[in-house]
Formats: sequence, C-alpha cells, structure tokens
Amino acid sequence: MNVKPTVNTNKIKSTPIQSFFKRFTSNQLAIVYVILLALLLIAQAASPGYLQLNHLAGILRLASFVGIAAIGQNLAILTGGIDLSIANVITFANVIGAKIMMGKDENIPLALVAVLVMGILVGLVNGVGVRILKIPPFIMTLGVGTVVQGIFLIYTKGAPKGNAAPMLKSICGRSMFGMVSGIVIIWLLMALIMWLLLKKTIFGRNIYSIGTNEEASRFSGIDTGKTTFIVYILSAVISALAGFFLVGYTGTSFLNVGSSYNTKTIAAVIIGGTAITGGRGNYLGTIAGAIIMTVLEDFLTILNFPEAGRQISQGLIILLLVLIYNREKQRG
Amino acid sequence: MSEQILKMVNITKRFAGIVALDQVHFSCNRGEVHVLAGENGAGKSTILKILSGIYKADEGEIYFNDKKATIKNPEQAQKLGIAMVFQELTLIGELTVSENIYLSIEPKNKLGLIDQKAVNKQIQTAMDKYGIYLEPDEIVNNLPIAKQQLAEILKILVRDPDLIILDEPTSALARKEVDQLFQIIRNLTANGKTIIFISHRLEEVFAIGDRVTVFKDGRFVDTCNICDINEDDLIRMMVGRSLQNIFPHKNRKIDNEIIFEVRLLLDHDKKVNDVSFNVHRGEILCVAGLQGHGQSELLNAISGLHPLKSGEVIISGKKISVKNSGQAIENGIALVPADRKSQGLMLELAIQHNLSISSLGKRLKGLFIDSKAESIFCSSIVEQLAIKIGKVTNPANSLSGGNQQKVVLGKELATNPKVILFDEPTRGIDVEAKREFYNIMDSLASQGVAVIMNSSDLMEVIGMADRVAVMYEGRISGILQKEEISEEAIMRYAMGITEKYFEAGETA
Repeated sequence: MNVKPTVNTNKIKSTPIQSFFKRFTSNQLAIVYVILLALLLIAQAASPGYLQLNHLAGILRLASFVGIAAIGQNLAILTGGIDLSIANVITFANVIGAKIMMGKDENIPLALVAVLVMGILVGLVNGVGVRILKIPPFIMTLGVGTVVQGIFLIYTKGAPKGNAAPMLKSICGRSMFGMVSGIVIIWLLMALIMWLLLKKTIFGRNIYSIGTNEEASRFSGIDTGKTTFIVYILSAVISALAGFFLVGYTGTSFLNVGSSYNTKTIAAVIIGGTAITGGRGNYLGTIAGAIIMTVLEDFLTILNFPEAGRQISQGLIILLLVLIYNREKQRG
Repeated sequence: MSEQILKMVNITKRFAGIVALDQVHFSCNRGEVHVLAGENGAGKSTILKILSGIYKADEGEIYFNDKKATIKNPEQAQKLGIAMVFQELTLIGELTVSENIYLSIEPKNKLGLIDQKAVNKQIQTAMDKYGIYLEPDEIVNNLPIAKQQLAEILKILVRDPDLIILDEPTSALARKEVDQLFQIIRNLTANGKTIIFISHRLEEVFAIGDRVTVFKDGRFVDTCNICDINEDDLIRMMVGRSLQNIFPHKNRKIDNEIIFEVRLLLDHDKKVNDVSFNVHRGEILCVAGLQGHGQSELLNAISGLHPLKSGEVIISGKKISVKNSGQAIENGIALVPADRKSQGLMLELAIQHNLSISSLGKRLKGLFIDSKAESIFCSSIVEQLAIKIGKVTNPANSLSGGNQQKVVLGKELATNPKVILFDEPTRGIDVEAKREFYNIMDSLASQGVAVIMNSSDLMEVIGMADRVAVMYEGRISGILQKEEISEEAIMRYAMGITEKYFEAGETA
C-alpha cells in the first residue's frame, strides 16, 4: 500500500471549516501570500500610513530588483542547484553599466550590451564548471563569484566611476505610468515570461524533472547537461540585468551594491515555497518572497531597528518559514 | 513445533477513509516459514508495517507469545523480538560490514570506547551460527548487492529476534544467491526462529514456504499448508485466475524480416563485449544470464545511456546513432529501465508529468505545451494501460508498484517506439500486473515493434521468449531457439559452461 498516513485517520469527516483550513495549509502559495498580507497589516498597525499607495509603490519598486535577480536563483534552485555568483555579478554589472553610461542616454545600448556579454560569460563559466567539470554548484558559483569580485575590483581600482543616464533613471524612478514605476512593469513582464517558461515549455518541464530525479530525467531522454547549462547562463544574464537597472535606482555605482543579493534571492525563493532540494515550487511564490523580504527590511528600518537587528529578524523569519513548510511536507 | 508465536486478530487499518485492511487475521507458528501472498495493494505491506510498529492499527488485537501486545513504534517491536528486513537496504554505505551490523549496540570496553576485539569475536560467532559468511572489514559500498542483503539480514540476526520479516529479499538476487539465502532461512527455522516471507516469485514460495496466507484487496482469503496446494491454486486464491493465463499464447506470426539488429557492440570496460543479435518482425527476444554479466549495460547502451566504443545499431536496415538517450528515443528506441524508482520516475512529480515527459515535443502549440492535448493524451494512456489512479495530478509515488511501472511503460510507449527494451519489467510487481505486462509485450510484438526483454526470472523468460540470448561476462554465450529454450540450457550458457561462441547472425 502506498497510502500515506495522515494526522487524523480516525476522523474521516471534518467540518467545512476544518477541510477548508486543511486545503489551505496544504497550499504553500496561499500561505506565503497570507504571510505577506499579515506582515503588511502588522506594519500598518505599528506605523499608520504604511499602506498608503505611495509607499506601497516604493516597496514594489525596491522589491523588483530582488524579484528580477531571484528569477535566476529560482531556476538554479529548481534544478537542485544554487547560484552564489549572483551578488557579485550584480555589482559588476552595476559598475560596468555606470562607467559606460556616463550619464548619457546615447550610451545606454552599449552599456546594456556590455553588461549582458559579461553575464553570458560568467554564466558560461558556471555552466562549464557545473556540467562538464562536475563541480557542485555551491562551490562552483561561490568560486566564480569571488573571481568576479576580484575582476571588478581591478576594473574599478576600488573606486567605481560613472552615473546613470536620465532615461534609465526615469525607468527605475518613482513613477513612470502614473503610480507604477517602469521597473515594476519590467519585473511583471519578466515574471510573466518566467511563469510561462516554467509552466508551459519543455524547458520548464525539464527543469522540474532534473530537480526531482536527475537520473530518471536522463533515462527519459532529457539532455540534462544542456538544460542545466542554459539555467546558469540565464541566471547570470538576468542578475546582470538586475545590476544594470540598479544603476538607475542608485544613480551611481557602489562596490557593495549587490552584496546582499545572494541572501535576498535565496530567501525570496525559499520563502516563496520552492524546495531547496529542487523540483518543487514556482515563481509566483518567489514574487511574494521578494516583496516580503523588502517589506521586512523597510518596516524594521521605519521602526528604527539597527542593521544588526534587521539581519537577525530576517534570518529568524526565513528559518521559521522553512520550519512551517517542512511540517506541512511531512504531513503530506 | 506448532506452538503459535503470533496471532493478529480482526486487524483494520484505514488511510484517510480508504480501508487498507478489513478485519484480517494472520497467525504464525514458531519455527515455520510463513509466506504472505497477494497482489500489490492487497495489504501485505500494511499488516507487516503494523506488526513492526511503523503503522498503528485502527482496530484489532495482536498476541505475541500468547500475550497481548501493543506495538506503538519500531523500538517496541524490536523489544518484543520482531524484526523486519526491508526491501530497501538500510545499511550505511561508507561504513564497514561489522560497523553496520553492530551499529548502536557496539560492545564497549572500560573506557566506553568500542571494543573492536569483542566485535570481531561476536561477529565471527554470529556468522558461524547462521551460516552467513562475509568479510567484516569490507566497506559496504564495495560489496555486491547480494552480499549487502546478507549483511542486512545478519544485522537483524545479531539483535536476536524471534520473528523475522523478509519483505521481497530475493528481488535483487540471482539464483545462486537465492539458494544461499534459502539455506540461511532453513538454518534459522532449525534454530527456532520464525520467518514471514514475501515474494512475488511463485517458485520461491513453493521452494521455501511451510504455510501461506493470502490477502486480496485488504481482506483475508485463506491460510493453508503449501504442500496441500499447487501454483495454480495459489494464483487462483490471489487473483481468481490460474497460471496458464499468465503468459499469452505464443501465436504471433514471426517472419524473416529483420527489424532490429546490433553488430559488435563494445563498450569501454568490456561490460558489453562484441555483442551482436537481431530481432525478427513479430518476435520477442529475451536476454538472460546471471546478474551482472552485462545485460543491463547492453540495454542501456542501445538506449544511449551507456557509452559505446564501437558497434552498429540498425533499425529496419538503417544504421542509427545512439550517442545519448534523447537521440535514441528520437530514432525509435525506448527503454523501460530496471529500477523504476531511481531511473523510471520522478516520484514526487505528477503522474501526468511523468507520462508526458519523453514525448512533450509531440504536443506543442508553437513554443508552448498544449495542455488540452496533454490531458487528452494522459487519459488515453491511463485508459489504454488500465492504470489505476486517482487524479493525473497526484504524484507518481501515490501509486502501487505495478501501476508505477505502467506509468513508466506509458511514458515510453508515448514516444511511438520501433524498438522497446524491457529491463526486469516485472520486478516487484504483482501477478495481475505481470500478466498485463506480458500481454502488452505480446501485442507490441504482433504490431511489428521489436521487443527485447532482460529478466532474471527464468519462468518469465521461458514463458515469453521466442529466442533467448544468454550473456556471460559481457558476451553472448549462446542464442537459444524457441524449441531449445529450457532452464538447464539457459543456465549452461549463463555459467559460461560452453566454450563455443555463437553469433546472433548465424542462427538463421
């Protein structure tokens, strides 16, 4: 018998409320959005005015950078891997972008191309390491990230130059179409593509297959090498793009602009319900995860939490959520 | 000795409203080998899991040594003297045999450290007592699977249980190893131990069992002495059908046309060594041999999963390339792999995902998967293969073994193969599912698909094969024509007794 034991085997019938609750808690996506809602309500209670449209638009704008970078992280984690080069790729893209743009709109295409080429190169190296040299993704991407950091330190000689072009500033600025910032629209478009990619394409199916059982995937005729390779290239390119847009947000570039993004993207993905072991989860959850991470940081800043306190709170919340998810998974 | 050691009365177990066991009885006498038989889903595993403390019964009573027993967890079962050897091995691969066997019960010296001398002495005594001989200092991962199984059994035995449950212990063993295991079982019963034995191989049931209890659909059918019944009786009790019906009658028309051929296949480490054979239209070719003589590697190589150094693969006269599995599938070669859990299925993913993963390209609408076409496709496969499922969105691990195997088969059939390779297709599935598999193979062969099956179950090989290619040390040591097929003939070639090397092409 392959029937899983459930908690209350004796009670076959349950009240509608119980069964609703049960169905609800078995839906991770619902949990994460309720958590987001609860967090927003708490913020509103503690700091009235938090839920003003203005402020929410700001949160979304900030969340979009995490959200975009988390697309690549989400892909890598779904295959059972991870991408720890994201943070430094973001910074490198940021400094390259700012330096080439030099505050002029006409330099944007060249800056964008340069940033994307850098992303592709880093992704290729990650792909070669993970697939051909069979280095575990954790080690490979960590190593590559460190090398990238070294390279941008040499490139900038420790002092990044340049600043954002006006057009990029207005895309990532406060509002473009009425309330919503351009970057949020870009995020939404990318999210839609990501959703279609995972849900509706062979590539997406292959990612879930590989993350669940790589050997069976190979036996099913999936080119596991090619799929993983593409995932790491996509991850690096998308992070590079996030780093590029960040120039528009910050105006100039900093050497630590991307440094928190490894943690943030992983947290967004995991909070969003994607299993760290791969094969389970989707990007809709990650969207909420990215917003939760941003709200949390923003809210704690408003409450005048010191940096250390914010970090501790963020860490604890991630642990708490993973604990809840694991319990749900065991209950089945 | 017919003293009753175990009595389970009116056991009922429900899972979320599904009745897995309905008021069943089960009892064992001291010193017997009691076979528990029934199809997958009959409730065998459930009752054994209740007995070993993994599940708790909803109703019913358990008496052990005439005393009423409550078994709430595996530790309590172990204390009572009930031990279970699981299908999946529980040894830790990086540790040695003796470290595994004495795990958590290591004898300690005065300093509280492990007393290696005592371990060595005790393990020697245990090996002598039960007739299981292993190299205690060998790392478990370096042992062949059969030896690991024996180590697992020895691990249970040093804990000195009275009742030992063996759940399909022979599914991964070759014949010689099965004989060895049976000798061990006889030693145990001679020492007053009681054995509960599950096997899907009928010949083994009759070779080792004293009594048999049959369950069907969660209900008790009967308990009888094995010497009072024959194979037909037993099958009838299990499925209400007799043995003659298991294998389809071989009335396929086999013509001379060769639809599939391999020539001089050679891999890098000679697991597959100059193998050549062919398959005629309408024919089922079986690959046989003792375990580990290259049969699985051969099938994997043809499917692009085991790299080849040289050789040709030819479908209907056309040479094809099988550099990887995707290419093999594209060229019309499908494989139902030996291990459905690790190679066949993504267990945690939906049944639908599994069924369609190898043939997604056939149901595309532009860039995207056509979900409507996909659900139509899935329900047609489910219907065609009579797969018993709840919803296609349930994960594959919600199915019984036989139905899981059907999902693997459905996934492969969806690629419209010209050649289909079955590697141990009926391992660990029940008689009814086996029968269905045999019928499917038969009808595939009649439709002109080249069917090749590797099996370590000789009864199955004899029942299904039109020709048998026997492997020995990576080579084909002989090809038996239909009229030559017998257990003895297969075993001769399998043990490399003949020096003569036949090539498949010469048989015509």
